[in-house]
Amino acid sequence: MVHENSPVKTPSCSLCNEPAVYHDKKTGRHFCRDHFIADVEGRVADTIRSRNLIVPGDHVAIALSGGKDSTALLMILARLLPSWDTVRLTAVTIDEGIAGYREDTIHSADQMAAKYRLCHTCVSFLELFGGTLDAFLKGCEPEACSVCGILRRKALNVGAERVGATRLATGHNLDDEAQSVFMNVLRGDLPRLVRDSGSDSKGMFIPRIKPLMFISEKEIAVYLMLHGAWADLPECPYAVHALRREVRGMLATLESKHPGTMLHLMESKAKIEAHCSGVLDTEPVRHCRECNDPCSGETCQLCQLKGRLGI
Amino acid sequence: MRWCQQWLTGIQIPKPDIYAISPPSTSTIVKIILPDKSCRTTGSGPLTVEALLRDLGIDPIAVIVARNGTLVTEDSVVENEDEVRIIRIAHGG
Ligand SMILES: [Zn+2]
Ligand SMILES: [Zn+2]
Repeated sequence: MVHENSPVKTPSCSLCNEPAVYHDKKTGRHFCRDHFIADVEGRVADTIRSRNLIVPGDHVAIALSGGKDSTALLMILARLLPSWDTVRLTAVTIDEGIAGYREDTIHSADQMAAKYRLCHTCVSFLELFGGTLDAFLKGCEPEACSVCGILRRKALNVGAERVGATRLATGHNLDDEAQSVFMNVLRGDLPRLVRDSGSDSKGMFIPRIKPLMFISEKEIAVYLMLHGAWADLPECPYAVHALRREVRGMLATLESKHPGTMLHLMESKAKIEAHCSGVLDTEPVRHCRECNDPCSGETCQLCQLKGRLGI
Repeated sequence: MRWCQQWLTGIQIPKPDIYAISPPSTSTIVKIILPDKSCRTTGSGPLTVEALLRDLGIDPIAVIVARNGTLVTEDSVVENEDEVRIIRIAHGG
């Protein structure tokens, strides 16, 4: 119930007098539609510039799943990149073969790529590994996300190589990144915690970039909604099995009660990374004896997985 | 797949069947459309979006909320015949 000191019906933007559509609880600032969009796009531009994620002459392959994050990534990059001429964009979509889920998102990816007049390449698990994810996962559904992650990583590399890209951009957002930090801590996996996605390729794979790493999932949803690009898409049916799901719930609760929690996790990671630089990453690059891809052991994760699944 | 292109642009879109439920007769009842598209009402008078979500047991971080077709912040107030649509943010992608 609202009594005296009652809140106003619609708070105003902290930067102008327009009605607010987003409230950043960490800073206490309210944003109207235009200032919210400018803030999100400005922060993505800052992330790209300060980390040299994209440089002149780059050909950026966007990993476009057709879901909300990669859709927002495409929209934001397409808005920002014309100001950096000589940078080219191409969309790469992976069809893992998940019945009842992927059809809609792939259709959505097709529409987005066409709307922005981007070249669009599709790589399927069927074509690359001889089967669908559904078929590979029979009986080992609880492992879905790690199996899919390893296969997707390869498929995205193949797609990016096919189009001649110099960078591979994924739609990972702040929530995803904070969850990963937390999960790596929970698993005691320090090497993975500090290994940043650009450096784990050791110059052998196309560097991966995450321009949305400081934009929250909620901000992405609001951004899409404000652009009329919100689509009510299903969630991956395998997500119910994942540790990530539990971690997401915990972090969401913490973030609601203590705004800034996710950013603080990212800051912790950056500090640990700074302390560990040069210490953990000294293993010489070896090559997988099966496929010759760079890896740290005798055989790469993908070949180990293929052996296990009998692919 | 449903693209809700016109959703917030002020264009009149046909109202879904859910609105066919006969409207409440008093003027202090907020209509709520839940993420699963089901519809309910609350007569608890003016309250913030955040309080409404709390009453419904919904974490504000997992949803976005539109009041009468416009996105609003969690510290906005809903009252009278406001129509509140709660949209769940799907994960992934
Ligand atoms: Zn403003
Ligand atoms: Zn290998």
